Amino acid sequence: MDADRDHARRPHDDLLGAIGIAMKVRLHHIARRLAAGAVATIIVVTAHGSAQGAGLNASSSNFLQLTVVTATYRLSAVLPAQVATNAIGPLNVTLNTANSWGQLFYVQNIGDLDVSTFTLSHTGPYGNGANRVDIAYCAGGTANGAFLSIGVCAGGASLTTAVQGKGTAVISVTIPSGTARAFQATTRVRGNGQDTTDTISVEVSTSGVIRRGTVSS
Amino acid sequence: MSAPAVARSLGPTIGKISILTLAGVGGLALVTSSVFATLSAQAYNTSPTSVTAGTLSLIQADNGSGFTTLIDKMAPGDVSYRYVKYTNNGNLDAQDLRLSLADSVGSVLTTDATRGLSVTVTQCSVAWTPATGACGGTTTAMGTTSASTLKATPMSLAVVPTLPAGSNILAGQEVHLRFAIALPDSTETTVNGVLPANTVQGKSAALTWTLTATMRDARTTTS
Repeated sequence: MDADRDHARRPHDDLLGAIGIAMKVRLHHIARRLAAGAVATIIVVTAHGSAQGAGLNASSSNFLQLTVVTATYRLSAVLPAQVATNAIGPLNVTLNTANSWGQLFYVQNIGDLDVSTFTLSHTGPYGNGANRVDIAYCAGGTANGAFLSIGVCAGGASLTTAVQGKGTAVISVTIPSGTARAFQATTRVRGNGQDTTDTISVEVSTSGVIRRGTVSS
Repeated sequence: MSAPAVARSLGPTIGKISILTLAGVGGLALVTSSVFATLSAQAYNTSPTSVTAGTLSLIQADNGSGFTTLIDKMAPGDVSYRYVKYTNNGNLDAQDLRLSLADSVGSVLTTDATRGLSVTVTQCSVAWTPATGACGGTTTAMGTTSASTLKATPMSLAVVPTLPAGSNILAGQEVHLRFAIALPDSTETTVNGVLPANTVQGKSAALTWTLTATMRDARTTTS
């Protein structure tokens, strides 16, 4: 039977067969080219319309985005009960008989960076005379500037006047991020002082924070 | 004549007519076929010609602290390095490398050309050492631009080698880049914990870096 079928093939069957094979070969190569193109397409974005003419472009991007976050540098003056809160704004300190004309307050660092230098401003109804209000802190010692009580430093530190009367002072005391430094406001003559309400403001500039600089990783 | 006799006398006549008709048709067919008959010959290669399209592929990988490593608490004047290796993973040489940037957040960090982030790209001929930032080979400056500018205009990177002409990242070649991401120094003052207006503090950016390469110049080959 097979011999009969072969015998029955007409001469042009060979030609058709050859064309068929050629087409298969071409289709095979077209398929391979398409496959290669498909692989390239995954990574080739667009035909390139440059002066050099059309071409292939490949691109690569980071799958996970590089996150960059900038720091904050923020100080605020607060009463003891407000420490560890993010209270902001100027602090009003009232001095009267209830606190014996002396009040502790804290400068807290609620930013991301450690602060080494800041500016403290003091305003109030009285100037630098007999009724003035002084701002002081504890320097040195081993208690990170803590007070035992008004006018008494802990850890052997010495009481240091920052601002005498109304005015502004640049204070070089390091306050790490997330911590607070104690200060006191007192009338010049305690125990027989003049009632007053003063305002404390703190400022920190870029130059007053501890920055990383250049880091390789 | 009887009917059988008539049939006998008509039989030969019909036969002759049939023969003549067939002969005529046959002749006509011969004439017709002789008019359109032709010879043809074809040749084809029995072994197919293989044609394979080239591939162009770039792969990006972190080298130590790369694009997947967070840059946190950046202050004005700070610079953070990020190290990335690009590999031409295709079999075609590539050229015309261009770096572009996208930020899905869109803060002052990538919209302000002066106070926002800046980027300096440097190539090392061998892999960078991220821990120290050292390059054990030769460094080549690729350029500096602001993130704001980079978002709008890709930065051309003339990576080494630059030869052969039209191919400066060869198939299989690795390109070792260091990205110095800086927040330009500027002065801001925060009063009583309140950040100043239009500050760079407390901002964020989510950056996607895309390196694009074009295939080498097209070639006409004779062999």
